[in-house]
Amino acid sequence: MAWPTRLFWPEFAHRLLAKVQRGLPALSLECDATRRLWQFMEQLDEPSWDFDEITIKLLDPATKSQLAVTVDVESRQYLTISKGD
Amino acid sequence: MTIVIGEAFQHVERTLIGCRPNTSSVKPVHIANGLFRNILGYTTDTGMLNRFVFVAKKKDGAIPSGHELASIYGELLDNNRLMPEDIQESDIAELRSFLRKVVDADGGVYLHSQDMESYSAGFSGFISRDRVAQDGGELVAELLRLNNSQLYTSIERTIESPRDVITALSLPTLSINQREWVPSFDASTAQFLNKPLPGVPASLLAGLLKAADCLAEHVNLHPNKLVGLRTIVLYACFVVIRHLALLESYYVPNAERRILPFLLDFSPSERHPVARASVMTYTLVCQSISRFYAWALGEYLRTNRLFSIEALRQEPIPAYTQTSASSRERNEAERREIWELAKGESHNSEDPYSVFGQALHDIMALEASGNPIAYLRQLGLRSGLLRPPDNFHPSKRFAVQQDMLEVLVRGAVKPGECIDLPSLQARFLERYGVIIGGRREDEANLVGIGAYQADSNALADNLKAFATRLSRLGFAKLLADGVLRVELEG
Repeated sequence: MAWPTRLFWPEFAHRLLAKVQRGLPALSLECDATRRLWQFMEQLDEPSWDFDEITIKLLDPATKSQLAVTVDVESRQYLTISKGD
Repeated sequence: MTIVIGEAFQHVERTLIGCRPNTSSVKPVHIANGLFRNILGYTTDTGMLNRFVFVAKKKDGAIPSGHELASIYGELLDNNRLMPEDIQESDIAELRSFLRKVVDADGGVYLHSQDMESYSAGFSGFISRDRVAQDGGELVAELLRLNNSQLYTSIERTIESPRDVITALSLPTLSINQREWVPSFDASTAQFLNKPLPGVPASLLAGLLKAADCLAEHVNLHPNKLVGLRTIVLYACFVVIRHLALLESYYVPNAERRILPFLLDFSPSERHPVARASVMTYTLVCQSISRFYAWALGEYLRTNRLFSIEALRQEPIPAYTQTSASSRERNEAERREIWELAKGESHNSEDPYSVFGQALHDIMALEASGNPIAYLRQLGLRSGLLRPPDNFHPSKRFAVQQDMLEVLVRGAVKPGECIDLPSLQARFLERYGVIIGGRREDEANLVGIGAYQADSNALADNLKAFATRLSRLGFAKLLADGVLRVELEG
């Protein structure tokens, strides 16, 4: 694996809880520990491209709303768009 | 004959700088768009994407023609880009809102008709004809191309691949029609790209290119294409900033050995001696840019306009543009004062042309909201090289955010390579002109340029804080014998 994946969980958890206590949305945090978590996720979020259809789930951290979009990448077509999980 | 300042600046930008650092609106997304389109050699018709994501004007909420929900839905339907039995207009409305937040993450999306749209994405289908602040990125592309950089081919390959989630999400709104693109500004004619440079700045430029090749190895190995592109864009922003800080050493006689280092500040407070020394290195960079412009504009007056010094002393106040030459402009009293002072000072100066060049630079700073120093400051803030971001602190310091620090480390250490901390510091200096402290030569370097604020103890503390930061990022390990080992996994 090319990029480091080690996380400092105690520090991350401490900082995260402190920020959450102040009402900040977790996904908009920018501290070092959170960025480490993002880096970890960035290595995992690459979807498989072996299929014609891809479903992408979106979460808006500000409004908490969610959207699932299925795209046919061959025909460049939206197949379904649905709210929620 | 009235001197037209805009023409003088354009001449300097075209012949010496290779880009137009004349706006404070520059963002990394602009650098990205310019970099990518120069490498691809074309742009794409982003009209449909723009109609999809640009729902209404922020100012008054007005919906531009063709951007109405029914029109968008009809356009997708007509082009067979959606399944009508499964997707309603309300679904498209939801998606438009989401997609806008994704591709406008950097605030670069404006109306397509204005040619001012750059998208936060990484595929050829998003590359637009944005005319604002693009040429910094185009210049970096030119630099990579001329030096056969591995990073150039990495970008070329990556940007043509549609395999990322943002592209997949936007694919039905993207066009495959390529549009011919001719740069409005030819960066390749800048002298520093075509003539031998003095040894010291030449070696730093070579160092930046070495960093590009090292970065390419990381990008090629990383499984996430968008992360790789983000890394590249931050590198390009750093190159533009470093380039502006090197202009004086490229061109101005007797300044060729004067490489101004960026002191990276890892101290805990803005009142810490290292923070203040870092502010000083930033200030010295700004002064260097001003000196370069004074010299370059003086050379313009000397060689291109065939002005004698006596003729300059008779010149009326320079105008900002040709059209405004005969009209009354803003700040007339201030402009007159600057020009008259220059006339007086020219009698006692060894280089009177530079005195008039400095006056042109000062008048430009008075007239234009965007000038080279404001450009450098904004790009530095927005790419995570400078802090603090607020306007209450006009003096910035080199305090890197995590993304930018990662880029600098990845440009210095190859995947799988293992080096010690002094070696990393040596590479930072060689490849970026960046120092951290803790070595005797660092302190001497700072004292040599007039940054006296931090003594050896303060700089040693800065090095410790840097080492801690590297450890937290997972880039370094403290061995049992007390040696810090910097290692990037391969």
